[in-house]
Amino acid sequence: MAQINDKINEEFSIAIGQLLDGIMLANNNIDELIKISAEDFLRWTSHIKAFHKFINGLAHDSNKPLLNDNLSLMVKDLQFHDIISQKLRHIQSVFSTLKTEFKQLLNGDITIDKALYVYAFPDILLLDRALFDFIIEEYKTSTENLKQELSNLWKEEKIRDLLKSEVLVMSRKSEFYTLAVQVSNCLANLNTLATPMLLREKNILRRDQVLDKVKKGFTMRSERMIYNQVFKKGNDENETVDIDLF
Amino acid sequence: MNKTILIADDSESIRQLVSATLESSGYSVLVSVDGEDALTYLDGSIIDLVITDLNMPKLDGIGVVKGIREKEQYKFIPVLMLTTESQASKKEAAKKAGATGWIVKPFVEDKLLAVVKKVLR
Repeated sequence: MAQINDKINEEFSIAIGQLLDGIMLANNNIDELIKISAEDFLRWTSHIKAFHKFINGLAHDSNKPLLNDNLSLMVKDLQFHDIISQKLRHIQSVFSTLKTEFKQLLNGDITIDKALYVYAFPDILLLDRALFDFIIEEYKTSTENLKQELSNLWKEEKIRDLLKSEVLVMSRKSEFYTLAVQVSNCLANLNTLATPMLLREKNILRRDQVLDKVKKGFTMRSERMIYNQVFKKGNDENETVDIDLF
Repeated sequence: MNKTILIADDSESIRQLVSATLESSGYSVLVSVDGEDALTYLDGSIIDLVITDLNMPKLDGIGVVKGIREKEQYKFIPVLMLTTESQASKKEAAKKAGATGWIVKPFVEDKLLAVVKKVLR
């Protein structure tokens, strides 16, 4: 019996170690994703003042309203840098808690019956993958919109002069996609690794406690919407309107 | 005279985009990188409006509103929260602390400017 327990403990330690490595890899890749998107988005954000100045200086010809509308759309799309970064950081924040708990388990600082996040691990991975798909879609939409909006501005000779040293693309877009796919695959691998071990370790009450905490960490409506979709919950009723004066 | 608006946001892109939007409409803009930094501007300078993020390091947006309301000179200036947060409970907390309004990111330039104009009237 003691031998069987030792074997189970050994298998458990190996699995936890592998999960820990996987989480750290995903975490590092997410760090890189945040840096890559920042580089591309901030490059264009830094030109917005100059674009405004140029458009404000135009005579009230037929093009001015169109260019203004175009710039307004650009300002909206550029904010997705901040939105995407925040969502990625929310995923990292849960990883960070998981990492701490897995390290404690691996070092024998806590036993499985004292753990919390481990019971929700497959659910967290499922949620993260759904969030990740959404983030990739948001990145794709905002970068494609930006490309179109920049092309519209590019038709103006003075804008071309202003941007002569710039290339009209999100230059690190392909790196973002490659890395995003790697993170998504990493999450899928973690799920495969975690499932057999965690099928043994079930605690619905703790799982639900953890998922509740994870949801509370979300600041955005879209994150909560994805959570509700993944776990088949109803829509949240306490969402606010976009603009409200008190 | 131009109205002066203080922005508090830890995101560089948001600071740049809000500044550009406001400056293009003739407002003067002061920029702070977090809540603590924002409060250092409340030193007697004329500030007509504060636009603050909610979740920031060091001091959050609710702390900024409270800090502003504690200072006699700035007690009644409008404070707008500009945030990705859309939970009604958070909005209520901001309202209770003394915020004037709530705008969810991503903002649309025209709508932001309309709100700014309205609260500065």
